[in-house]
Amino acid sequence: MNADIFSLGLYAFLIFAVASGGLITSMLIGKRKKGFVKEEPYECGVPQIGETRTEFNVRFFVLSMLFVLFDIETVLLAPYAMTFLSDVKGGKGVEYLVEVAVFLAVLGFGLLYAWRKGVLDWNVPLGHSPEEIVQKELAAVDGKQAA
Amino acid sequence: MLGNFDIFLPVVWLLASAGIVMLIDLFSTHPEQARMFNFFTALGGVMLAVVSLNPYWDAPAQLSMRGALLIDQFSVYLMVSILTGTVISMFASISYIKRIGVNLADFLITVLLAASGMLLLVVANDLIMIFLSIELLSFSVYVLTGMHGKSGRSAEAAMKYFIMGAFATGILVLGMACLYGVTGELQLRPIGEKLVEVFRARDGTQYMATFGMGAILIAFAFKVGAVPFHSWVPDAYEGAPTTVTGFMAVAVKAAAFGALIRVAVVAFPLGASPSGFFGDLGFAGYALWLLSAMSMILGNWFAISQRNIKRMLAYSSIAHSGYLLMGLASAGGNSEAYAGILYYLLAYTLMTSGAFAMLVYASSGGKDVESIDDLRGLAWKKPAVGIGMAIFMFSMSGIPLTAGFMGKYFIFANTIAAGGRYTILGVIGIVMSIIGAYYYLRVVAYTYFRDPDDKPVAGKEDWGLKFALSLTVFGTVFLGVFPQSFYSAAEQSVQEMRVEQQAPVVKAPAKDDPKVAKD
Repeated sequence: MNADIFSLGLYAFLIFAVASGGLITSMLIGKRKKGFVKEEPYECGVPQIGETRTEFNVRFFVLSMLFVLFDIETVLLAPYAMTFLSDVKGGKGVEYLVEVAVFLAVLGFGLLYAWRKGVLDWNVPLGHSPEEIVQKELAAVDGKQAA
Repeated sequence: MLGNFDIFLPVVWLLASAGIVMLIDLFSTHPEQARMFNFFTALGGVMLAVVSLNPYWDAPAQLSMRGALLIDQFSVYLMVSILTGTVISMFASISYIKRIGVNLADFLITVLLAASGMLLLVVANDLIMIFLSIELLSFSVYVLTGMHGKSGRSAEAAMKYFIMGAFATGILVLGMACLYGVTGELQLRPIGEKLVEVFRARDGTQYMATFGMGAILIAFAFKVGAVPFHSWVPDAYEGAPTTVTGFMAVAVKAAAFGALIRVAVVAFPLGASPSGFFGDLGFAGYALWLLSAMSMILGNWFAISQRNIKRMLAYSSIAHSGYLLMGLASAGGNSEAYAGILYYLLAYTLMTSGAFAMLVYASSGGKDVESIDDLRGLAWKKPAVGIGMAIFMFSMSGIPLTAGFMGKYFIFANTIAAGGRYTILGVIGIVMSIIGAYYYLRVVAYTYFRDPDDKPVAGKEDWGLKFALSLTVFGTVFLGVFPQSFYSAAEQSVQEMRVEQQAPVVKAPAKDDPKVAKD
């Protein structure tokens, strides 16, 4: 037992020593040069355009949440559908129907909430169109290179 | 047989009132009338939940849902504390929530959902139920924290709280998985019994069991805000709308403590440790000792230097977690100690939600109270409010004739009586609460001995806030002057816990035990 713990501890120590040793050594003796290219995130050698963190309209997120909600609903209803006939034969049909109705009612409340809060209303003009964003970012990159 | 569903009745009332509030809010054409109607619907839901606890006051413990829920007097006491905190923050929020531009109905729905999660958490008797109810309450509280949509800090606080909280929940599940892996049980009591065997046998699985216990303790320490898992507390408390902060500080803490006490007492065998290192305390006792000592010392320490009063109260709530953890660490098989913790939780609920409601009252010009300077001369603007603030601060620092004093007295007395290493813990607690008096009394000094500014306070026209304040001031004083009935109720409610649920003590194998020699 003790030998195991010792070798495990040695292993952990070596991991730490090798990992931190390289970093510390390069920090102590390495030279630092900064430049535009070096600071750039490396992405397979392709020059970057714009930021990765662009703003999306929040409606997409809300809609995807709704999607997850009803996706799960389908998953949970599938087993109920499979056993429905045997439930009815077993005399539990009404009881289970009520339980599923409660479940669906809760989900229905969620949909109702989303509907009344205007999530499903797509005719409201969007904050940004996709082309607009691309144009803005290209302009930003041009500006950076010019500077 | 699933047992009786009556246990769900309080939760059903909360959820039903939340549903009604939502429907009214969505389809009403008169927002102003709907607002008050919503409020009273939500209040009625909470009241019905309290009333539906009636059959369980004197009843013996009952299991339901194949043992997933256990309702006993301990959980009833905690439920009443939680619902009290909920009612107080609902009253305090009526016009505050409107003032910060949030729809009252959204707030009420989220608070009711959080409260239902808390009620489920204190009756949860199996790991899955604990996990689900913690999630229900945490998600609601994340939303509440970020509710102040126009304030960047509120969103930041919600994000921090959410990320760290999700991490803590992950650790909780990891710990539960370890305990399940070792014992093959989900319910707390069988887990406790199996763990005793595991720690007696010491066949190697006790390391995994210890890891599981540690992970669960970490997650609960996060939820109650104990050092070193406290880093979300100041940010979340500062960023959240003030009444939400009060709700978070009292109700979430009461619920998490209820679950922690149940898990620690029922599932974690006393004195169990994977090796001799932890001595008589056992792993869980050792961990609780350390958590409590660190929370008391660092919570009070950091609170001293805070000028922002919400952050100060946040650190003070960390320190209060420390006192409560001290009670839990030293409790062992002594049921009076659990009664002390319950009493302290009730006292803490009243004084802390009152103090946060006081901050709402003192805010002026549409701005929340930030710095302690904003409270300058409050007592001269409104003498009754000055007295109330002084009472809350006296209570928090533990000055006699207030609820906080009696709570501290019960906890410290039991800790010192436990003797041994707990005496050290008790001494740390006493010293730190004396140090803590400095920053509490500084608030009183600012309200009385500084010249008032000419800004009007916002709470003057707010009847809900006034009601919440009167209730909390009255409760704080009443609990401090007549502690007996509340304490004996607490004492009675933990009787069963000692008799039925106390996990047996694990004796460490003797030195000449062949199993130890094999290590």
